[in-house]
Amino acid sequence: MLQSFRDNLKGTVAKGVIALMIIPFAMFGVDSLFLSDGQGSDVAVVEGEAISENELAQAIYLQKQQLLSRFGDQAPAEFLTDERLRAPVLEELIRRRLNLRLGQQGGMAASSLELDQMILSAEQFHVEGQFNAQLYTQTLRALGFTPSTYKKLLGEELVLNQLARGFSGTGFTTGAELSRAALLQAQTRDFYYLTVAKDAIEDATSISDEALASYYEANQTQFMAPQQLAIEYIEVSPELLSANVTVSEEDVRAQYEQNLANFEAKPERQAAHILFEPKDDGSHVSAAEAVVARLDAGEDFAALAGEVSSDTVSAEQGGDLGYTAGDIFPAEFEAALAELEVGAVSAPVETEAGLHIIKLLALQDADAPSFEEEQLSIRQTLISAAAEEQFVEMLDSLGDLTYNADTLAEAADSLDLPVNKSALFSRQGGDGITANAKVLETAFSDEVLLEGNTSDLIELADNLVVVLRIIENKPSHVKALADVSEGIATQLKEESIRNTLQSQADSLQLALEQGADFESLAKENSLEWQVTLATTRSDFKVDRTLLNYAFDMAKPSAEAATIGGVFLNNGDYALVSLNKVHGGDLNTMTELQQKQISQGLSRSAGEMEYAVLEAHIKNTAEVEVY
Amino acid sequence: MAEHLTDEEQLEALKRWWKDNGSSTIATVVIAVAGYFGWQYWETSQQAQAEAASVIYQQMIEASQVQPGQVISEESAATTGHLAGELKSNYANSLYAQQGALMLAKLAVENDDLDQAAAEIKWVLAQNPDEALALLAHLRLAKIFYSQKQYEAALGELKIQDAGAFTAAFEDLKGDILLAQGDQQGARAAYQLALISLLPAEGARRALLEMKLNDVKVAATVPAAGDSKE
Repeated sequence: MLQSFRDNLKGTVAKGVIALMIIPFAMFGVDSLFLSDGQGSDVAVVEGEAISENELAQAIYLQKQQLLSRFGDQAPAEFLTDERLRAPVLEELIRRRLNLRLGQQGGMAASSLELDQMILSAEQFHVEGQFNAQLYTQTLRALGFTPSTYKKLLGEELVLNQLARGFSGTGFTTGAELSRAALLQAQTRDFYYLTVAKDAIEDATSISDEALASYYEANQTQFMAPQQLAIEYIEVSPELLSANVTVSEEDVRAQYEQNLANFEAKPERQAAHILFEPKDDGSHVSAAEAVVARLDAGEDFAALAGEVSSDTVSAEQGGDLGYTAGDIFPAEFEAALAELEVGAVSAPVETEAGLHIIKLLALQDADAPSFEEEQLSIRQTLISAAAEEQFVEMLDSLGDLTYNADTLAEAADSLDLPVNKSALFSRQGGDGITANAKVLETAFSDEVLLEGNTSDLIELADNLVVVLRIIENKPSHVKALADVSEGIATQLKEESIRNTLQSQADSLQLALEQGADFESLAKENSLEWQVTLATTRSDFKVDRTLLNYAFDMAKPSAEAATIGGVFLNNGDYALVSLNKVHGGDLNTMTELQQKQISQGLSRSAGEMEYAVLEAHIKNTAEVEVY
Repeated sequence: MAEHLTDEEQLEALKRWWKDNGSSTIATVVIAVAGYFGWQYWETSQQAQAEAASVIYQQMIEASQVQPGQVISEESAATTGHLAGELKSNYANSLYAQQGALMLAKLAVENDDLDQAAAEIKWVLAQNPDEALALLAHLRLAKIFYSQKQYEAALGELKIQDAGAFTAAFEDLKGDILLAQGDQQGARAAYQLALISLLPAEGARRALLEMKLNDVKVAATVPAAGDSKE
């Protein structure tokens, strides 16, 4: 059918049919016929819209750049791995998507004009206070954007910002809320307290050996020591091997000679220029020619540069641009520079920046480094190369020699390596090599621990390989009483003191609850007592724990104070009688103060409400992460 | 099948098909093309509308901007209000208008005109907003009713089966209202629910919420001295 169709292509009917087929091409482009499923796979679907792997990768890259520019070299490398950043960045992408959806469905959009203005006024694209198109495209390219994708992102950013501010910036606080907040926050309390000190009891408290022993017997599980192992191991790395590698003087010299043969002298040239920026009317060409004429007439290059060069920075230095080894300036510039004698001036040379008249100020031939300068680093290189080679050979033989071996000594002897022994360590790890997770995993594996085999070669890090076997296995056991009795004694003593304090305080509290007078009760028992009136929540004269407790107590009734007590951080016990609570009063503040407080509360209310709104959208959305 | 027909016959068949279906084909194509351009036109004008609203909205946001600790000047408040009103009247279907109304409500509260503030938020609710936005609007409306001592109306705004992420904010306010109505026990339950529903992003709410809860504590539930051993 198609063949005959083609044969009939000249017929009017066929032309009509073809014309029909062209319409979608013309309107939607050829792409419309090939439903693209994006490049690569998707990582998540947010309300039916996919987030592609590419998009995520770019977002991770951007995030990394941002962290680097914020923290510089101080950003720990492990925080910047793709694996670390992936989950939070994806989370953020999903949040953005959902918020954008809300905004766009609500008819929010960024105006193109607004975006252009934002781009033009962004300082990171400015050179000397002016927008620089070249810098703009360069910066974008470095971040993986084109101007249009960047503008799209910026537009999204604007909409997101508008959305956030429309909710968080519209939070408010009503008068009732403000009064309520003031009533509570500026509340003050009147309370009495007395302190039952632990010192007096401490001296009188002692723990008998029987009590100690019976606690030990009753709580054996508390005193279990974990299973411990000790291992012997052989460790190989190029670094360790390099200690035994020797390199002869001849070898170093031979290498130096070879380096010398390969050494390419790259002369460095000090260049100066006078720049004429391109003008639409071509007037820069004639301007350049005029300057060439003045130079020919013997005028000073540096003075002329200061007078006419469009490169204002170098113009101040007489056009001096510093040294180049041939790779700093555009190719046309370097080529012209390379042909000049010292002191000579070129004809105008055209580059992207405009027309340059170039002068070679000085020429420095780079000298080949001397043997004395080089020998140390050459020796190092040779040693590590040899050690690397030995390392690779040794891995094979070490694997063979230790396979099924009952001891590491033989392998160590034949390879001339030391056998190391570790101290005892538990599953939690010990010092040195036994702190390494891979070593622990291997040592406690069935193969090595239960069957007593020598392990396979374990690669702990790049170029650090270990083989190990167990030399001691100390099973889990109860620690001896003598080793733990000190700890038990301290613990029991503290408990005993607390109990005594508590029971003393309890009887005092009971007396107070039955109506005893606080002051006389304290005197009777020769205890120190204090009263503090109109105490605020932030009163620094009162112990912090006591203050928090006093503000945590229920409000007293008209008839009776609230009584309670609390252990303080120093181990003393405070008995508190809360007599009165005074509500804070907004009217003690000026109107401006009130407005400022209200402003702060409104701001934080708006921000929290927006955060909750975001959370709600996220919780109710259909999001699938692969 | 077609292979058995000669070229003449094929042409004949196509001509016949064209005679039968030609006009409807042309009609379909015309409709499709018109629809396409119509859609394009509609989209472009939608976009232009959105962009125009965006510019006004941006100006409104900037006018409403206040440094922390500062109070908005009368002039800025007037500008903000004017721009928000423009959004509401000219772009009523847009989210910009709803956010403009929220801004007007805030300005009204700051002007002590709670009736006006309530009217603005009711307007937002009348626009049939997104569920999350509706919850936010109900919350803000309830705050206004509470301040106007219209406690039943305030509770009515908060009477929503599942406030989702808004639970803590809803219950916190519910506690205030119940307490104002003299229902200590109800208030305590609401504050307790608020405290356990608090999202991490609502950390700033915690301290005051704890004070509120403490404020409605009754002596019987106070740990007697013996209980605070730990």
